[in-house]
Amino acid sequence: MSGSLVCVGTGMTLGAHISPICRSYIEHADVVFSLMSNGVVERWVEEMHSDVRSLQPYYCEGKNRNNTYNEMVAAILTEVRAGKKVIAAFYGHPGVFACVAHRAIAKAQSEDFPAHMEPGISAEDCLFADLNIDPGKTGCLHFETSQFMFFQRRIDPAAHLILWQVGLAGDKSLTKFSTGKAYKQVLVDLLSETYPLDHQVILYQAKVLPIDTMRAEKITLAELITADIYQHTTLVIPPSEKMQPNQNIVERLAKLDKQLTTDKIQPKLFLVE
Amino acid sequence: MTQIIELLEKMGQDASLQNESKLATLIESIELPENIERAILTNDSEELAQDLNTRPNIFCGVFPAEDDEPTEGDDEKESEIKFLKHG
Ligand SMILES: C[S@@+](CC[C@H](N)C(=O)[O-])C[C@H]1O[C@@H](n2cnc3c(N)ncnc32)[C@H](O)[C@@H]1O
Repeated sequence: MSGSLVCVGTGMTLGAHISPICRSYIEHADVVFSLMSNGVVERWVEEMHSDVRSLQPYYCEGKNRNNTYNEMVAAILTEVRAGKKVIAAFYGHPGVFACVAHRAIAKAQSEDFPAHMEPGISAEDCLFADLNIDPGKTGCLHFETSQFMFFQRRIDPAAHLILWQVGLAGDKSLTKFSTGKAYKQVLVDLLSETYPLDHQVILYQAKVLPIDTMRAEKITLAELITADIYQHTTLVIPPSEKMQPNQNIVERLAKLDKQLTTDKIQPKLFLVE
Repeated sequence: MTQIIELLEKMGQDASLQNESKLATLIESIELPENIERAILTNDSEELAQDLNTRPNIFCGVFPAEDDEPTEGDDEKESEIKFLKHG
């Protein structure tokens, strides 16, 4: 018996989002690992199979999260190496702002085990629906909040900016479960280099249980420092500026169009080989 | 327990249950512990989690701002091993 791994997503809202293929993989597994964002959702997954092992016990405040994630990967891989059909189920999409599934699949494949990912409905998908945002309208940038703070990134104020894990903003140690006002202040200072302090931003929380209410709280950028921000809050910053035409490119394209029309009027004959 | 989870799953899946009065009728038709029924009808997810005695401290971050270097080093070693194995 040869081991295998499939990482599946259960979606954001209990019952509402899981795809038939993800559910079927869970039901037909030898072992299921689960990483959910809610205890009731965890119970729901436990009801789908007799051997569901939560990855939650690996978390520990004060422990570097990279170690936590590597331990999760190791636990998953031990069962794959033991020849089991392993399913790792993650809330949302298993590969969106989620490193464990990517790391586990890469590791399994490097050891020649079949491994792949099945997508799920992510927080981002819910956000586009709940907040009526089309990421294609003026573009959309996504960053993990702390990474956005640690590195020099270019913001485009004409696009949406979506910051994930804002509750952990600025945690360089990767050991905290939340960061306080002083850290949010640094984030606001950074953002205020691009956006006015009274720019409206949105604190977004998708429904996790069907009885939950979606949160789409509009506050000003300055209010972010004292706002209620949880682990599962996503910060959405709508555009503060209009898209500016790229004159150079527009002129170049106009010239091309003109050229094409004159070519059409006086058709040239080409030799086709 | 199974019955409550099944009910929640149904609430997530069934378009007709997105309507409060239909949901109330369904809940009345099944025997639920009183506290659970109240939690569901008042949309009190904290109460529900407590009543179901679920894991209290759930962490939902699955992404580091920066990957750890040892992991990348490990990967390099692994690809070397794989290369040797196949080479
Ligand atoms: C490590 S990421 C995991 C995302 C997940 N893989 C997905 O597909 O959405 C955790 C972050 O996702 C976002 N998130 C998780 N649950 C959420 C929810 N219920 N509503 C809005 N955003 C959520 C928050 O930004 C949170 O900090």
